[in-house]
Amino acid sequence: MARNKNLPLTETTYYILLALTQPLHGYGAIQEIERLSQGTVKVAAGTMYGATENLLKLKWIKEVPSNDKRRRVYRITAAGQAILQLETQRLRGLGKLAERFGY
Amino acid sequence: MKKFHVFLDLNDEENWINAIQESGYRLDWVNPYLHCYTFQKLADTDQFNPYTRLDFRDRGMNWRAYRDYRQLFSDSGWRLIAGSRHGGIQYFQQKTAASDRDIFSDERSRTRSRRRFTRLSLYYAVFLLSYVFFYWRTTDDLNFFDIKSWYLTPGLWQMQGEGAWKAIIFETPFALMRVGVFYVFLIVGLYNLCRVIRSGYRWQG
Repeated sequence: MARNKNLPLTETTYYILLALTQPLHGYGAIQEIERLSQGTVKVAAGTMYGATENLLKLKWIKEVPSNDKRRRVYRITAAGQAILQLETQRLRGLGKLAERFGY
Repeated sequence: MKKFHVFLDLNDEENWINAIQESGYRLDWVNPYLHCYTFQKLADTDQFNPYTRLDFRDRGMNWRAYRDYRQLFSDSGWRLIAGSRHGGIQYFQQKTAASDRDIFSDERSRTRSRRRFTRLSLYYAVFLLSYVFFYWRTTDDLNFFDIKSWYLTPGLWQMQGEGAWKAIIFETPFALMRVGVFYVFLIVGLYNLCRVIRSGYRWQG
């Protein structure tokens, strides 16, 4: 079975897609990722901006209207959810495989 | 304190700025055309030596997108000290000692930003140097290394006395205009080529 050429996702991309299940602006996503990862992943501003630019181009996230005039707010799209599903299956498969080796 | 310095690589420029800042200065302003850096001596009231980090935008942003871009950095503790929404190098400085140490948290995003810089330099180098080449090949009556051929006025070099000097001085701006574009494009083109070579252009990765 041919794997989707966009897989595997980077850890940053995976976290951003997870965080954007709810509509958030860039810094909101940075804070949410820090919370979700229990403080282990702190995405820096330049990395976040580049990642959202890239995800918008891939159409995995889209901009949604908001009251915040200074910050653009994004949300995951159906295509983004599909890729998140695929990547999660891949990671789950790896986890199961590692379990068989006693890890 | 003003310093002039031309850089071929963003990492070299960033390291140079931070080395000066560590010796008790803060970068205040950059003029990208004159390559002029203005530093301010840190006062006793300043609590820390800030880091300055460079991002590169290869295309212009609309006003709204640029505001969002700056806001994201500002929320994360970075102040934009120089940069334009029409693209180019964006200089960000830590607002407080608690700000992140870097504007990139993984190698991939840093590489992408650096690659935008190298790619744009490559486009400029190719465009400017091709222009120079075709201009040079298609202009028969002009020898770029023979200053006398820059002047179109007939008999200018046979003139005598004070009149000759006046005529030459009068014609000089026109002569410079004729070859000026050639030399400006040549110099800027070579500068961009050097940036590509120094930064090491990679098509992939």
